[in-house]
Amino acid sequence: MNKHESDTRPLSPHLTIYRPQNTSILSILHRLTGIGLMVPSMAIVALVLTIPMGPKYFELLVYFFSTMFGKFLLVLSLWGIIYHTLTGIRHLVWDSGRGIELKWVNISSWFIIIGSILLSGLIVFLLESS
Amino acid sequence: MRKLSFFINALFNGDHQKGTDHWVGQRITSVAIVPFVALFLIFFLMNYGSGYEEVKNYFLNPIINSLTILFFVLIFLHLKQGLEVVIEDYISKKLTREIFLKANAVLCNCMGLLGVLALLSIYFIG
Ligand code: HEM
Repeated sequence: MNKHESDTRPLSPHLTIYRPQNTSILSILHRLTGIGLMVPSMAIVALVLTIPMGPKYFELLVYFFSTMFGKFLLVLSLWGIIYHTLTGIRHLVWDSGRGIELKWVNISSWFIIIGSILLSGLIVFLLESS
Repeated sequence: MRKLSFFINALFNGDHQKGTDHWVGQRITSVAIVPFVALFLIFFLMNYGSGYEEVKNYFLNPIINSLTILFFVLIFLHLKQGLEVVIEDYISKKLTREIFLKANAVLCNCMGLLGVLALLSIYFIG
């Protein structure tokens, strides 16, 4: 850390004076889904851990994810990973210098919003009906 | 040699003197994680509703087992890198920030390690 760096640097962006737009909303959602994906990541580790621990623990975890709250978490995680993947890929495309014109940002934004909802909805529907 | 150390630094270093290395490291895990997430979603959905024995047999398959190990390593590296950026954005007090960065690194590495050990123990101990 540099000596001249103070402990109280201002934070950016200045949220209180910032007008929400679809670009800023999608951006903050990418961050929120990224942080939120901690939960399913740990759930997958927990699932794998129950295998050497024995069927009792496995059934307990499966039971938890069959409750209303557990199912809610599953659906949210499913949407979260699809959304974060789509915006993440868009980030990588941006990093390669492509798709940064406002027109393309708007088009891809709508594609991501609608695509992530439709895709996760379709998957939930297929699971429930199988 | 310089290239190799840059690559390793980009992926594993928690020391944020080197912003570019961190940025490159994030791009590496982001690109690498895409096929794993796609595969994971497909396999998870195909096996949704399976019982204990089925899931166990599934992870006894050496290909599935080792792919899942790679998946865990990538997820928790990517998560650690991502949360580091978030912590640096929101916590401006130096000492607090450093504590959070350390805690984050320890927790993410431990979760990844736990997952990898569980998979190895399924395969080698049963
Ligand atoms: C196909 C899968 C994924 C892709 C393509 C992807 C891509 C990305 C990219 C490019 C960034 C950097 C964004 C930026 O520079 O602002 C990022 C940030 C992040 N990702 Fe992912 N990611 C994926 C999966 C995951 C998973 C599974 C997790 C959780 C374990 C996760 C957690 C995070 C977090 C916490 C951040 C930091 C958010 C921020 O800085 O705003 N990502 N991701």
